[in-house]
Amino acid sequence: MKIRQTKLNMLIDIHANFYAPRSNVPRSQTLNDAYLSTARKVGITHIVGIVMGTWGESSHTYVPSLDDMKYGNRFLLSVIEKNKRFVFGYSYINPVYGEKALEELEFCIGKGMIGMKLGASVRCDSCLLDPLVKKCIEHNIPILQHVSQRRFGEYPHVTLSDAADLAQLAKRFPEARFIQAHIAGGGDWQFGLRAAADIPNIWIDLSGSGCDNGMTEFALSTVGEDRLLFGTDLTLDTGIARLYTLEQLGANIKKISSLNAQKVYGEKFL
Amino acid sequence: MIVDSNVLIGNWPFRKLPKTSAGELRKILSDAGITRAIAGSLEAVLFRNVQDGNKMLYKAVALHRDFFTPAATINPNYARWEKDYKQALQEQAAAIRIYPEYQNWNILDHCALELYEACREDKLPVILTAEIEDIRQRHFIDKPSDWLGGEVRQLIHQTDGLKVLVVNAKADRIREIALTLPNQQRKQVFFDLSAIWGPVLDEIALCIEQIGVSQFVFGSHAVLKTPETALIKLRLSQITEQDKKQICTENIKQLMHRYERIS
Repeated sequence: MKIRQTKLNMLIDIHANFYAPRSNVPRSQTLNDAYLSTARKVGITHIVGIVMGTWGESSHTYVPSLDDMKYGNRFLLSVIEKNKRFVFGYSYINPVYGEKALEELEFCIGKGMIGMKLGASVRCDSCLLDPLVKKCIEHNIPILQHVSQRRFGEYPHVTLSDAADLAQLAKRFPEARFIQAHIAGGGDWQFGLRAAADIPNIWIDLSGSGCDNGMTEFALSTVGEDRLLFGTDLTLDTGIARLYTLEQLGANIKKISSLNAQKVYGEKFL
Repeated sequence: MIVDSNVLIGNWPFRKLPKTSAGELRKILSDAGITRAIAGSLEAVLFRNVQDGNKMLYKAVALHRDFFTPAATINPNYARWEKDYKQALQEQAAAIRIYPEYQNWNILDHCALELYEACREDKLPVILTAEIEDIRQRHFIDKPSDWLGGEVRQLIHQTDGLKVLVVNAKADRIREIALTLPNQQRKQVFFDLSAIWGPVLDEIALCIEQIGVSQFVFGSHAVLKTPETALIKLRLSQITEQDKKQICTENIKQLMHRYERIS
């Protein structure tokens, strides 16, 4: 069986996960290798990855402790070092830690990371984020925000944000660039896409395990090809399949696979 | 040859689906590389009288019988269901789809056991759907009484010889059902790939290692999902080419005897 591929010189996966040795995810080190080899196989040329602390081993995946946050970020730096010009990184930050969170972000940017990833430690319209967002503006790097596309009520242990919350934050910081995580990561994607439609500084991350028929069409018609970004998150197959759908729909695949990402990250990929 | 065991034709009231006719869906599936499909009626899931959905299905696939084989929907808790079942046989349906979660009956209800007995005698497998839509995105009035893995286990215990295909189940639900059945009974239950995660986790390879390749068939859950995804996850999986072939074409012959006869 062959893998059908769109011929692309550059394919940037803007949402990939790596796992540090101390992790709650089974086979975590095997998964790192499996991801890198499969990514090459499907033609991914650049990866922007995250290590979400210890993935629940000693603090919540989406609410990392200060130690776990640092531990994950250090591990990611080692992956970047081993895969120069192939793997890039987001600094995973819990805004609750205030000055220490800001120091960690500065440290990671200083080491070459090209984005900040936020989980579900605080609602994303919280003013706790302000200094971090300002720092990202200062360094010209984007913010990847974990969202449930539409939240209903509250969930234990986390403070989930949804697309409408992100829209509020993006309006407050029009000079910042935000990426709305995994449109196919669960939840009402139509709500998520409509919430982002009129906010020019939000880009849509096309990753996620869902593969609903009509989702890609709706993303293209509602948000448009200039603000869609290729990504995989935990499932490469769904991301690749969405590229094919976009190609069939006549979308500009070069924009979605690389040109939009170059713009969002400030032309970091060679 | 790739046979898709899990296709639905029609509309769903909670979101607009692109290209829902049999002809359009055939083109989408064919373009993706699928050569045959077992199709049910999507409307029948929510119709009080499911037979209206079946009739729409039979009419829709009439011109495409070289590609689609119907899977009739039966509600054993509705008057004259036996008549619908007989017509399903006449229409050479390859399987019976049931939706207890949407039709207010239980997998183990007496009426359902009568249906299973008929299916067993006629060598027709029963298709159970784990989720029509992902629970995280359902409309607020779309609240099915989702069945439990333990109920499927009980069903298998009580119906020696009946074959059951569980579609759109995630890997944890598949393991819950398959790994808690004795080996012999495990052979009665099959699963499709449509909700199993592909690479990087490659849950297909894990499930096959734990349960055995013989219990898996290809399924996309089109028209609700895109068929490309199921194909790509299978192509990227670390399992052998022989296992992929079994999943795409061979295993379904063990599951759907009537499909084999008409193909």
